[in-house]
Amino acid sequence: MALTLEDVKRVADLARIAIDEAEARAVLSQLNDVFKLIAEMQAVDTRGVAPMSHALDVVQRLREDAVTESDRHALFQSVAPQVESGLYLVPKVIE
Amino acid sequence: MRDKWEIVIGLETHAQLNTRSKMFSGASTAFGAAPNTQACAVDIALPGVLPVANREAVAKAVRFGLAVNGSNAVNINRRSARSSPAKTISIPTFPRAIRSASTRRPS
Amino acid sequence: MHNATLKSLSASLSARAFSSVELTRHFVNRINQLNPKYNCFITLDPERSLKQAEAADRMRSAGRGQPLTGIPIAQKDIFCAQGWLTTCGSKILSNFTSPYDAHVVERLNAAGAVTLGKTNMDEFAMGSSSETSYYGPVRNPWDVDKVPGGSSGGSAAAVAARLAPSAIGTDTGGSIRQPAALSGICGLKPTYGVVSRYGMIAFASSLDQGGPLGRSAEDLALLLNVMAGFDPRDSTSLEREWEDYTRELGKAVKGLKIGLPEEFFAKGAAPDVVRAVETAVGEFRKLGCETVEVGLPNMKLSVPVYYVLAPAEASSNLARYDGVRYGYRAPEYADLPDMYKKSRAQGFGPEVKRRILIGTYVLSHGYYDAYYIQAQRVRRLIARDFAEVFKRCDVIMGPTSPTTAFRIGEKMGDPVQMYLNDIYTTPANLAGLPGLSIPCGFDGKGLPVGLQMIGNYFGEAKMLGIAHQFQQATDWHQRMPPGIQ
Repeated sequence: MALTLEDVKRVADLARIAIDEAEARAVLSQLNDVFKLIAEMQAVDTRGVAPMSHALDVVQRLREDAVTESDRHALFQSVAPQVESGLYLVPKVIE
Repeated sequence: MRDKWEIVIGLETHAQLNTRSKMFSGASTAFGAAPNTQACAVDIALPGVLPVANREAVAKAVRFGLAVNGSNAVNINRRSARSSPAKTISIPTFPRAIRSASTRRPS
Repeated sequence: MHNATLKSLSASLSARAFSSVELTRHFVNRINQLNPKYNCFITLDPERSLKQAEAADRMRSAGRGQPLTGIPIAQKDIFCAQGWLTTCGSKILSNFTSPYDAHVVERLNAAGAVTLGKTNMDEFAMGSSSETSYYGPVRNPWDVDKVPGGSSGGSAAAVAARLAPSAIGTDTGGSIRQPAALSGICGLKPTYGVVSRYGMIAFASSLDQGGPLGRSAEDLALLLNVMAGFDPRDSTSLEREWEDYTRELGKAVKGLKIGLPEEFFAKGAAPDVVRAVETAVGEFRKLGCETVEVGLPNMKLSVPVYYVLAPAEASSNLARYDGVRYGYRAPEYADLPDMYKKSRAQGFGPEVKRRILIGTYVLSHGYYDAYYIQAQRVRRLIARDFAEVFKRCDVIMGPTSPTTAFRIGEKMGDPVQMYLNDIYTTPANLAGLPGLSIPCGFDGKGLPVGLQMIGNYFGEAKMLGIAHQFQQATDWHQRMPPGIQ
C-alpha cells in the first residue's frame, strides 16, 4: 500500500506536525520503504487469532476512588513556557 | 408526502459521574477550586506519568447500563480493549490529546 | 577503583576501604576527562552527586547500608529525576527540569545509590545507534568511529569506558541488550511488568521496560533487586512476591537444556558473530548443558510487527509534547494550531517525526484493521512460538545483534537498514519475555559480540545464574576497550 504526498500531508496534520512540501517529499519515500517492510506482515493469515495488546493476559488494575493528590500547581507550573496567575497562557482560540 | 418520513431523534447525553477523584488520577473533583489547583501530574500529562482507572467510575457506568437495561443498544463489555481508531483532539485543556472510544465489541 | 565490579565496590564501601564521596569523586574526575571523547552524558551535576554520596556515607555509618548504598549509577536520560534536567535526548525537552522522580529513581535513592549523571540516548528511545540524539552521537569506547548501539548507548558506553560501575536503561525493541552487545558489557530486559514504568518517559507502553546495565551478571542481579517491584501508579506493574535475583548465581548448569532457534543462525548474521556465539554455546556444552534445535517460525515478522505497534503507541504517547505545559515552545506562531505544529516540527528530530507519522497512519480510520489489529494478531503468533519452544528447553540462546558495532553515520540514510538491527531483540519485547545480553567474544576487528539469552516469563534469576556460571569459566566480560586504563 503505497502512500501519496497527500497522505503524508494529511497524516502530518493529524499528528499536529508542520511539514513543508520538500520535507513531505523526502519523508514520503522513506515512509514507503518502511511500508514495504510492513507488507510482509499484512500478508499473514491470522483468521481466528485474537489480537494481543498485552504481554501477559492480566486484568486492568483499578484504583480506589480516593483523593490522594494535593495542590502542587506552583511546582508543576515552574516548568511551563508561559504562565500567569496560575493559568497556562496559549494563543486565543475563537470557535 | 408526510407519511413517507418517520422522525427519529437521538439524544447524546453526557453525565458527569459524582466520584470523589478523577477518572485516571487521584486528584479531587470538588467543585469551585481555583483553576489548576486540582490538576495533578497525571492530569497535566507530565512526561512519564501513567493513568490508573477509577474503580468507582467503572462501577457507576456498569450500574447505569444495568439501570437502562430495556434498550438493545446497551452492550456492557466485560472484556474491553481499545478497539477503534484513535481520535486526535488538540485543545490545551486536553493534555494527552488522543482520545480513544470503544465503539465496537472487541473481537 | 573504576575497574571494580559493583559487587566488589559494595564490599569495599562496607569495609570502609574508601568512602562513597571518594568513590564518586573518582568517577566525576574520570568523566570530566573522558566524557568529551565518548559523549556518554547529557547532564552532570557533581555537587549534587557528591551531596548524595555524603548522605550515603552517613547512611552506612548509621548502620543502614544496603548493597547499593554509595554506589554511583549512570541513569539514561529517559528516567525523570527531580531537579535534574531530563531531556530524553530531545530538543523538545531540552529545557525540562523534572519536578518528580521516576519510581525506579525513588527506589535507587532509597537504597542510597548516587546519581552520577544523565546519559545520552537516541531521541525518545527511537533508534539502535544513539545517533539520533539532539545532543550528538555517543561514541563506542572500543572504536570511537563506531556506534555503541542504542537507544541506551550512553549508559552502555559509560559502563564500557569505566566512567560508571553500572547504569540503568530502557528496552523497547532491544535498547538495553543491543548496546550492551555492541559495547561489550551486560544488559538485562526484565519480564514486562517487573519494573515500574512510572516516570520512565513513554515510547511504546506495551513494550517499554527499564533494566540494568553492568559488567557482570552478578552486578545486574544486585541492581535488579533494587529496581524491580510493584508500583500502584503503573497499572501494568505486577504485584508479586519479592525475589532475590542473586539466588541462582551459584547454581550449576549441568543438564540445562539450551534451545538454539534456527532463525537466529540463518543468513543475515555476520559470520564472526555466529562463530563467537557458537563458541560460547560450546562452553556451555563443556559445563554439561544440552542443546536442542528449535524453531521460531514467525520470528521473521517481528521487525514489521514492531514497526507498526511501536510507532502507533509512540504517536499516542508523544501527543502530549505540544509546548503548552512544559518543554519547547516555538518562538513564533500565528495561532494555537500553528503553535502546536511548529513546536512539534522544530522540537522533534527526523526519526521521531517519521515514527509519529507511521503511527498516526496505521491508527487512522480505514487502516486500523489492516495494520494495527493485524500486527496485534501476528504478535500473538510470535508469543505462541516461544510458548511452544519453552516446552522443550529451559533457555534460548543466540546472537543479540546481527552485526558488531557499525560506523557512525553508516545507516542513518536508510531507516529500514537501521530497523533490521532489531531482528533478534524485538521478539522478546513483543512476547514480554526477559532477555539478557553478555559479552562472548570479538570479531576480526576487535569489536565485541554479545550472546543473547531469552528466558520464560519471570526467568531472570535463572538466566543470571546461567550467565554467572559462564562468567566463572570465561573472561570476556572482564576485557577492557583498548586505550582504557
